[in-house]
Amino acid sequence: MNIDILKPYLSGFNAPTELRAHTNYANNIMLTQGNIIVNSQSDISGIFARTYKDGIYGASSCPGFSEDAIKAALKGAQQNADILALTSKNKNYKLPDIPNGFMPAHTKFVKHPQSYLLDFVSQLDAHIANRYKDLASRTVHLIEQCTTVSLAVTEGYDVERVLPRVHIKIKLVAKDANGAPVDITGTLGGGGLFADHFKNPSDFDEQLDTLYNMLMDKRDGVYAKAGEHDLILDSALAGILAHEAVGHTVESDLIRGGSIAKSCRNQRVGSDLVTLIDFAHTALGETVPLPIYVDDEGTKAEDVIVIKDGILLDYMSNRFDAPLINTTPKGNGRAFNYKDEPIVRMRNTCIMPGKDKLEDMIKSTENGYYLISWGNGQADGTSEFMFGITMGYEIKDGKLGKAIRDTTLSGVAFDMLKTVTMIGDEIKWAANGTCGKKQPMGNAMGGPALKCRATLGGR
Amino acid sequence: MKNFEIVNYALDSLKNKGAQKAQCIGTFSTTWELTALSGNIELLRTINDETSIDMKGYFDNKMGGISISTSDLSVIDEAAQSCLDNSKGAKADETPAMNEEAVVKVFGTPAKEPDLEKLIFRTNEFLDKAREMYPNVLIRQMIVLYTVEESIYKNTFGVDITEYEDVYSVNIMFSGFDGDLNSSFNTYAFALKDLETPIMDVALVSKRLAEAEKMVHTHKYPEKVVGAMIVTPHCLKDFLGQLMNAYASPNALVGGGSKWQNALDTKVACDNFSLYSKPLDENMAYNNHYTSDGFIAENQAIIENGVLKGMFADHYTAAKTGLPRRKSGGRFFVIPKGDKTLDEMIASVEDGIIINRFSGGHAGASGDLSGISKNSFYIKNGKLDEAARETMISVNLSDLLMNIDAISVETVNDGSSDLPYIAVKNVTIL
Repeated sequence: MNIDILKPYLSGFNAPTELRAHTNYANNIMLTQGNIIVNSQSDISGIFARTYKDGIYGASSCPGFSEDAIKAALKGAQQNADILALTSKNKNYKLPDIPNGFMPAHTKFVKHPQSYLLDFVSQLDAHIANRYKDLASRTVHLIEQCTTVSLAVTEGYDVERVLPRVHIKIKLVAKDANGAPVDITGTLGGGGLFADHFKNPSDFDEQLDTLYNMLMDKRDGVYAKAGEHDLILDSALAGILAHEAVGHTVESDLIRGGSIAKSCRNQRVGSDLVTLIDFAHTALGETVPLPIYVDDEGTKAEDVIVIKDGILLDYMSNRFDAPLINTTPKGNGRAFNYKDEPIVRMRNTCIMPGKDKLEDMIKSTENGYYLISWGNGQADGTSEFMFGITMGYEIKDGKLGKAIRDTTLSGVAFDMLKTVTMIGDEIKWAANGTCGKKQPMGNAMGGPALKCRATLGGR
Repeated sequence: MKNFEIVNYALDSLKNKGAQKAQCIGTFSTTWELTALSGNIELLRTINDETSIDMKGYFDNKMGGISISTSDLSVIDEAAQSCLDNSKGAKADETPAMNEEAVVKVFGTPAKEPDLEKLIFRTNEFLDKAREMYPNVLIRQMIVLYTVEESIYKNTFGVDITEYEDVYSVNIMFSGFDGDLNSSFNTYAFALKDLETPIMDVALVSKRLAEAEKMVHTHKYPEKVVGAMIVTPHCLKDFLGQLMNAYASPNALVGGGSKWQNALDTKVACDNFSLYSKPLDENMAYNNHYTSDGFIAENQAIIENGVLKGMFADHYTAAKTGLPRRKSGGRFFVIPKGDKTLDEMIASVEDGIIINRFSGGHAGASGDLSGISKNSFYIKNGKLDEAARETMISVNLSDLLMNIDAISVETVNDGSSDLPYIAVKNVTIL
């Protein structure tokens, strides 16, 4: 559904009002030991409307794209606003002005038949089974997603957006010397279309060999020594550091809720080497994995320079919160599904690269750990963070030692970033993650390898 | 068109496309949601007629599935065609994956309309009381939902199950503060049958808010301790989720790599520990009457007196692995009460921690798990000590079950679980 169909329904709405037609399309195929466990598509579509009145929002959604759905969503939003406004405690609060315009979609989604995708996943699974004979179990899981949005607004930018991403997760399980299972998971793919990433299953031999070899190392791995250590975080971890450790802490809803970042603005929170930006659509001259040109509130998107040379400069905000935290809205109001209201979300959050080589960073570490991959992460308003670490190695006398078993990395971001002494010269992006803050939103995160100090769990 | 007719239509559409076996699950709900941020309600949202139709067809034993969000008949017809198309690349697999014995059941009755005035009143009442009773606690976010749902399962073997449910859900995020200093975020979530009781008086709400005030000034012990960990009921629920996911879920079992693969009827926990999944427990705020593969749900023992009695192998996984099929669809955990009060449990700990929230990794197949103990207090010489900062807990889930030292007489029902406090010995705390 395009803007031309939606826009006329907003005539008669003078208050800030959004009308959104939203589709989330997904393909989901999972094979375990060659058995098809999941082989499904989903196509979730509907209309969302939200209107602002006297310091509160009323919102309503209906499935499908019918005229009835559009009218019912708008009517429901107005009714809810009228009911809630009666008890509003911020009746005089005005939303900040935002510029008007129209932003067309920047890409098109190309659907492949499910049978084509299933064939590719089956070939990849067979390739893994043939190549690595001593696995206890293997799982290959493809998720292809595309969000298509048409947003008409009474204030701000109307927008049409197509945002695809695709990834294949590969989980390998082996048995250790005691017969206990040990597993590792790797991810292929990223932002964009299936054809951008996947052509032949054998194209991934190098990544698969690396994953398998790490599993074999992990099978004979040791438990990390619990405590604070010198750490080299691979570039694959820098993104989750940017997202969890810092990103959430500077989201406006968390700032309003007492995040420590509220009192740290214009103060040092990292070493001079640390610059962190939430990119809207373009970074270092290239389109980012999940480009956002206009958010789901009609705000034209700009980069948010969160930390520059170690100093905390700005916060991520939606339109409502921006004046409350003394910033301007820059396009961080995003909604996951048709039924969801836009909330403050990250887009493409990245620590900027430095000049160091990974090999030199490892060589410079007398005793510590090189951490390579993560499973999940959580943040806190105190800037405490944790990531589940699923692969890593000891570093002894500047050289890699034994692999380590699953552990957890934790620290206080605004302390830990001050310990950063080296930053790698190469960025890796990951666009397969899903942030679970109320709605399961896709985010991209990136960064280079870092040398720092933080705490590892272990024995 | 009524909802059961929509699901019938979807099933017929799959059959018309050539499916020899098929199942459809239709879920039809409306939700009213209030969101308060920083102590004030800012949004009232209605999710009207939310529809989910999950269609799965088997064409010559090749499976294809799709999920759609509309009851539009032309979209359903297209979806059935997609199921057929999706199945074409699949490998034929004769393993049964759904209930093949006919059963017709209706559970519950269609729900009432919401009392929006009361929803707003109870939420504002709580926010006002929180400000008054706990002036050093900020309610960062509060989400109060009322959902009415009709859920229908039908398959080609004559299974026809309808379930009506309605439930209130409350999720509160809060933190204590002292000037610019704030505690770690706390969360507390629960489900309610109605709004008769003020939210402040439900379960552990008031106790949790009072604790938050004491969590602003935190301390970290300088040395590693191998001691006791008392896990609160809401935190225990997270550990149980990790345990089931790592050892007892279909995904863990179907590949043959679970630690519990061959452990039925063997000892996996201390003698004093039993664990049940009770989706039909009438003390819960809502129930779950059928499994996703079309069986009538039953309450199920997972561990009884330390011995593993059941897991969550669905029909397909059970047929593939030879394990018994699950009776429950999962969750709704119940652990019978123990014989010590929480105070007695704390008094018996020389060195340890009481943990309200676990912020950690996901346990893999090995069961190794480490993470940060959030919203927690150290225990020293039998007494609650300072609030803990950045304190890492490392456990293995198998060891955790074998090291349960005490279970409290107090249990807390949060609407979807009924759990006590448990004390676990030999936990690495750093």
